[in-house]
Amino acid sequence: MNILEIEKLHATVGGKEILKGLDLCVGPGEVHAIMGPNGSGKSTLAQVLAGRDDYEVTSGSIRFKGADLVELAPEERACAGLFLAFQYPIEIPGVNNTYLLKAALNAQRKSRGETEVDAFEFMRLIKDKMKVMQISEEFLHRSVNEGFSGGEKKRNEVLQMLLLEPQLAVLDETDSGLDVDALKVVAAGVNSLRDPKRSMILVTHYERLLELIEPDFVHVLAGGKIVKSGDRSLARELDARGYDWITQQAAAV
Amino acid sequence: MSTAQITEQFDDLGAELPGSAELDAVRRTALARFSELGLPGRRVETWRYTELSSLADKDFSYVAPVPDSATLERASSLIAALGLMDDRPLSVFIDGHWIQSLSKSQPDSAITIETATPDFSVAATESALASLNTAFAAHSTAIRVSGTASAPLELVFIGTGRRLAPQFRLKIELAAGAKATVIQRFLDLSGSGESWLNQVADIEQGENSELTLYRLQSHQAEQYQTTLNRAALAAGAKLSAGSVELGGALVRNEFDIRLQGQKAHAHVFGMCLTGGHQHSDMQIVIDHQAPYTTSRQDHRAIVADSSHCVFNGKVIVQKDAQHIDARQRSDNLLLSAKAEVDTKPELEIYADQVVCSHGATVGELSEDQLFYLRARGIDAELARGILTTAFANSILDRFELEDFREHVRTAVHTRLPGRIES
Repeated sequence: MNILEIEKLHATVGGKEILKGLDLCVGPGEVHAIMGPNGSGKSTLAQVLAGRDDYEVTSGSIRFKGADLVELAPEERACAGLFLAFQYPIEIPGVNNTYLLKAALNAQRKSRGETEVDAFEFMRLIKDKMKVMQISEEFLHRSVNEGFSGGEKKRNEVLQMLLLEPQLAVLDETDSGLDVDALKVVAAGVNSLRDPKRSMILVTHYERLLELIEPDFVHVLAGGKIVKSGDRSLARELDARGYDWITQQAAAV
Repeated sequence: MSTAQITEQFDDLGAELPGSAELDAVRRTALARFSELGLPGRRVETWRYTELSSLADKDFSYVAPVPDSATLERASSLIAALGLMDDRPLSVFIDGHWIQSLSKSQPDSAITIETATPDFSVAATESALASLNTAFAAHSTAIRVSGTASAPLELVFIGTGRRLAPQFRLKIELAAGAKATVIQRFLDLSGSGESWLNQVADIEQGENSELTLYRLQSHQAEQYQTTLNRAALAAGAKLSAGSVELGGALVRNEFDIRLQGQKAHAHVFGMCLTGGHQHSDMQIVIDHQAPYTTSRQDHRAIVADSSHCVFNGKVIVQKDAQHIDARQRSDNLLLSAKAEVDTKPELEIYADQVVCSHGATVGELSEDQLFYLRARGIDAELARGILTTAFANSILDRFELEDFREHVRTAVHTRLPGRIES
């Protein structure tokens, strides 16, 4: 069974239609890259999947593990195993990182009928993951994303993902604003989570991330729908030729 | 009750108040001043958002009787529930009366506390409520600090309701170089009906003295309280005043601080958490009268239901007071569409070498932050609780005395909507 099935999805933001009949199927263990020019609807797709209030699905359907995703609140989607790594992680002064991570983990465990972890067990779980993400313990005591550099914010997103072990991870431009070294750390984190049962959607603008995290499929999103799909060679072609030839092709159809 | 009726009450009961003929004359002068001014309300600029005239309709008794033994017993269990530290001196006041049997002193040569017949005088500019206080306050409690106090002093004020309007007078004097922490807790016996505690505290700090003055106000829902803290700081003196307002129907806490000597410093911080139809008003005036004086004001309000919070922070910099640094912040969180906040910074600056800043925000919880937490699996109610708690913590973290800070934190957290376990 597919983890995610999106059919003829139309969605609006502030009354403006951004997604215009998008179709996408993601099977277990698959990594899909979604590329496309600015304004094509990539981030809208990510926000719609996570359940942001002001993004409205007007028609079409999204099924996650066979169930209707649109009906679920954001926290229910997260507890069902969907994770969004934010393009712009939100700063929350006064709430420390440990508190957020532990509250999130326990909320999800509780929803699965598992026992909550205590402080000791939590530290045991997070330690190795911090090593992968090259995050120091001092980082855990800081307020969520407050005063973090761009790279630290993105590493923090991936750290959360490693801890929560989602079944479907949507990474929204997790590579943007990263230098080569930070990109390698982020990619190592993501790759450590690759698993035959876990699927990923990488929303990205650049091909360089896909050199480090190899996708099984590459899709081009333009004008609110997927206009071309292929394997990773498509990403290389896009890198070399840009998007114009595809958008023109799509417009001609 | 009109001011005329209050005057009548003084004529009837005034004889019960202790003191000489001279003191009686002072009380009568104060009463005349009160009658002239009346209960403050919206027609007075500094009372623009808080109206006390409704108190005129309540037939409060301004001379409170001495509590009976049943009251003492109930008060005793209320105090036990506070979990106060054993090693601290404690003074308990019920309806304004000092209760020796519930208080305890610790051998500490640096600090004395004494309740005595007052030695009032009345300034021509005395406010209505301070005048009322002078007229009816039976005693004056004086705390004198001459060295470094070995432990914080706990003052617990318990109200018994019963339509009493105790007038409580406090004096805190720190000699040069003295250091002390004074904690004031306000609470009531439950189910006791309305009351109004009107408190005046005069604080005098000698050179280089340091006073930490904390306040936790957790009155029952029907209570009124007005407090005027008047402080004068000599050179190098430091005052750190932190308050948390949780209860009461209508509460007003005023600070009138004069920085009279060079390098004197005042930090006034606080928060109020209101719900229902509560009204909480914080008024701060910091008067920089000497050069190189500094001040900080930090206030936060969490306003739920149909409640109303008022903050007015005023900084005055006198003509010859150069090199002043004065900062003020007021941040307000509205948890309901019917909640109301009035926040106003006021600057009166007559010197030119001055750094003054002020900032105020009034807003709701951030949708972006809520969504971020929910996208991690945290349900909406808990997410709101986490964000509200974080808003409160930035003030609570400023209380340096750990046991008091954590006590206040628990008191605040249990009252927050969508409370969280830490």
